[in-house]
Amino acid sequence: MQLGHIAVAGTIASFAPEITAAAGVPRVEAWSAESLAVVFLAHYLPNLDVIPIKLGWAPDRFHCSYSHSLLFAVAAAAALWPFDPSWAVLAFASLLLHLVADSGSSVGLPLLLPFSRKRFSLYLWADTGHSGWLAFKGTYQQAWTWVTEGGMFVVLAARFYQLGVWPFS
Amino acid sequence: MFAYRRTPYLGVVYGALIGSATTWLLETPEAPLTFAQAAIFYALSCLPGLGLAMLGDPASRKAKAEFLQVDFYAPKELGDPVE
Repeated sequence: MQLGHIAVAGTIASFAPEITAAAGVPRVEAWSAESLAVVFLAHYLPNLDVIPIKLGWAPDRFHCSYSHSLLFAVAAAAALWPFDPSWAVLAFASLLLHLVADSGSSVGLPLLLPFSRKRFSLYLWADTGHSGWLAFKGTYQQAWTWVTEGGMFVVLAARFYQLGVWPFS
Repeated sequence: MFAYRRTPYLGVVYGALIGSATTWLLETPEAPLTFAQAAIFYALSCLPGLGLAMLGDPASRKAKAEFLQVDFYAPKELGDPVE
């Protein structure tokens, strides 16, 4: 998933009050600066694994490895918990939904790393690499990326309407 | 991107159906959608609608099959660890 991550993160941030209330931590307002910053940073955190690849510090296959595992999501949330439990809960939800959003890619997600290297995928679309124009263009030549990512933008628009935010105010 | 000329038109039709269903499910009497707001829903619904139309288009399947043949993560340089 590429541009669809924006819609997924925006939708998660719209549910910030419900997510924090369900976890029993201090409430965070929907689409507040706090919820948007935490959710977007956490949701995009797994894809920052391209930075060491671009810098030549890691091979290409480092993409979608440890950063796309369940342990990484737990560790990131646990690291945030002492600073702000609400941030930890929102970050955990964002990281989990990043994995869900990427589950359609043929690259597969090593969810159980470091305990197992088995990769899980729904094989809805073929992976096209971690970055670059070919990766972007190739993604949108495939049907299911339009279905899932486009669908998420419809969901995001629905949240704009439900929360009475412009242009639905 | 499309093997059939009908694919984008079919996408608009599917988008209209998705948009209709979405507005029918969401709209409340307290906050009726204006024409412009409904148009936003219909326009966005064309994105997944196009995807649904592409499911029946051979060009999309061909692109997926071709990309599945490529290993984008194969080591490029000497010294990369090989499993």
